[in-house]
Amino acid sequence: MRRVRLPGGLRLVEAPRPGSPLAAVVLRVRVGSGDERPDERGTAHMLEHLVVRCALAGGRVGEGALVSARTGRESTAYSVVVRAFDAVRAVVALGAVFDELRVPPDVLAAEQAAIVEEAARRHAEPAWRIRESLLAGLWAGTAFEHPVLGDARVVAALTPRRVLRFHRTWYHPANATLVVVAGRPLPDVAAVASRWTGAPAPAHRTDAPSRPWTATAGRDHAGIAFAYHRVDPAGSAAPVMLAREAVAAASGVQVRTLPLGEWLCVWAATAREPFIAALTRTRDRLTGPDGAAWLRTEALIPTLRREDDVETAAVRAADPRTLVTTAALLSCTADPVAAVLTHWRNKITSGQEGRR
Amino acid sequence: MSVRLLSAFPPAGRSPVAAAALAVPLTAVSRTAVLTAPLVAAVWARSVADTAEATGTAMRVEPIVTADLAGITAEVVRADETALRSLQSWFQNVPPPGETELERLRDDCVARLPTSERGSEDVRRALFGDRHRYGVTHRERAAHLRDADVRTVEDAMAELLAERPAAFARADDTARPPGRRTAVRVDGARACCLIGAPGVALASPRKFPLHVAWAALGGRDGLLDRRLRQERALTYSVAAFSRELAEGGYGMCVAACRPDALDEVSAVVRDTFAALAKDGVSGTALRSVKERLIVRQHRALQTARGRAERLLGYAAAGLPPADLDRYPRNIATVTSADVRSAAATTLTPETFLELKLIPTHP
Repeated sequence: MRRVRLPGGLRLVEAPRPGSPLAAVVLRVRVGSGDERPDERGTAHMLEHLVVRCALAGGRVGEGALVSARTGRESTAYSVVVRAFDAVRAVVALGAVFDELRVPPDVLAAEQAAIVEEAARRHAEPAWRIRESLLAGLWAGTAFEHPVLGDARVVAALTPRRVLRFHRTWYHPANATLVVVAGRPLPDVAAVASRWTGAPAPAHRTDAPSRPWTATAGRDHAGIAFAYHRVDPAGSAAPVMLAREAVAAASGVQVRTLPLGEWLCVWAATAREPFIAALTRTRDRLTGPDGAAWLRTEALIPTLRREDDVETAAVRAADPRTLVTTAALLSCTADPVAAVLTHWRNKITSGQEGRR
Repeated sequence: MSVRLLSAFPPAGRSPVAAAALAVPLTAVSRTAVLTAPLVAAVWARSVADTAEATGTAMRVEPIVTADLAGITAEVVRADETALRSLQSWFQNVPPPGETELERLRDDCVARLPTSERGSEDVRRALFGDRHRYGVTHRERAAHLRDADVRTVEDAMAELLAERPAAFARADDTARPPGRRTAVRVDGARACCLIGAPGVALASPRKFPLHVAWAALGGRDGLLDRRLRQERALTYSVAAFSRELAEGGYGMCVAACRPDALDEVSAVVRDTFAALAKDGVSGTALRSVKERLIVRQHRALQTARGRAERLLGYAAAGLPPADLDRYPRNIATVTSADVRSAAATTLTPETFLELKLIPTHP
């Protein structure tokens, strides 16, 4: 994997995928809902919609592939999977996200309506409601508290001018990372991306506290979450990834993780006691006589298979906190995975209950 | 003598996981055997995994059941790829399950059963009839599996592994029921308009223009999305797709909308189908749809498991493995006239099945 900083400030990551007929291109702009002021809540997400519609002409690359976009609390990612020979064209197409944005009022109105519908769909999903309730509890009083969808009143009151101002503040090559996963090195990528220029990287507003709540439950006790500093012993990506998969295999409980700042948020849509029982059961399975073989069949193989996708690899490579290599996964034994589970269990049993 | 075993052993290449798949076709067996097939496949998977473990191989083995076949998929890390060579003998020597084992497998098996893909059961049952295995519903199968005893599973296992003639249907003999319209009241807040249409079998050369036709209709920025959502704001979500099986196929459109918009949605969908049959798709749109289908195919084949399972489906339809790799080339040759012709012969109102799902409490 090759990482370079281009003259315009863009971080470029090139990852080889020998023999693949496909290429994945991801452009990650470091702006998310955590960078919004109270009167901007929902603007990063609206901007994602408008960039796809106005700057990327509906998100089409060349003659076929469509760009996917996703806004998070810390970043907004635009990704596309194309045939290998279209990779440079995809890079050129994604570079348009930095161009001056022109938003016709009728397009803004259409996307405001689309976001109202998206919010209705999200609120109808129990898993989304639990996740947002838990993250709000973990990050109460910080810029990470509000959901990416933002405040409906703010979104309804957005004007092209306000959206444009937000775009001008945050959408610069110096504030972005471009990842290309392709079958062979593509020297043209660096040449193309080097021509992208803009203002220096802006200062981020994210006011991550020195210590978020260590444990909290949703109001209806349908979920539990905690966060811990990523430099903790159980913070590296491979054991965490395998631990998630192992818990699902041993107990059916789906554990989710999300890095935010220097913290790793962990949650599950289950109550405290069943979650502790699931962690204990999984740890017992791993430390049993056939723990290593069980880890391999139930966690390692499905994880390796999922990570074999070009887009998944590119999305992970765009954020050093989530980057994990095949070699790291293959060399991970049952012990560090069991240690992650012990760490999580201790966090819950010794955790401070949130106030939401 | 034994059954014609379907097998796929794709090379792992640079993938970190190697995979292989083995299955028996579900043609020419009783309905009881078809209904019991998921539990039989679970028994096969458990037994093969246990045998692998006993030999010191960490092999992930999962049951696989489609409308055309039942079997197993096995995966190992690439360093253990040679262990897959033993798969066939392990598979063919699976003993019948004991009562305790069956109980252990039953809940997981029922939980894993695929539910109806966006209401496709109704379309399949209407097209192929409820006596055909393609007309088996999730509810019927789940009820059967909850009651299946050791004897039933043992009999089904023997029947599935017994010799029988390979029976491939002619490529274009998809049933064509008379068009009909039905309205059903369902729980939930959202209304839905579902339109099903006959398709073609996997071996039919007409599948390529039909794929392009359905792909042009569905997806983000597809014809239906444009006409229903972007131009008229009638729908929350629209999907349109086709499925090809060994003995026939179908296509369907599912549009979620407000209850009071159901009639208008139905009219626009029919109008869009008619326009496609009359005008085909423009050059730019055609290239775009074809490119997306080709990328989707490559993506589905990135993993050894994805390739193995697709190869099994092709084998069940009597197609050679090379046909899988010829898909991009065949899609690339489809013309607008081909799409127009496929739509004109398939997307006709007299063959539609239309189902309106009306929420009880909108």
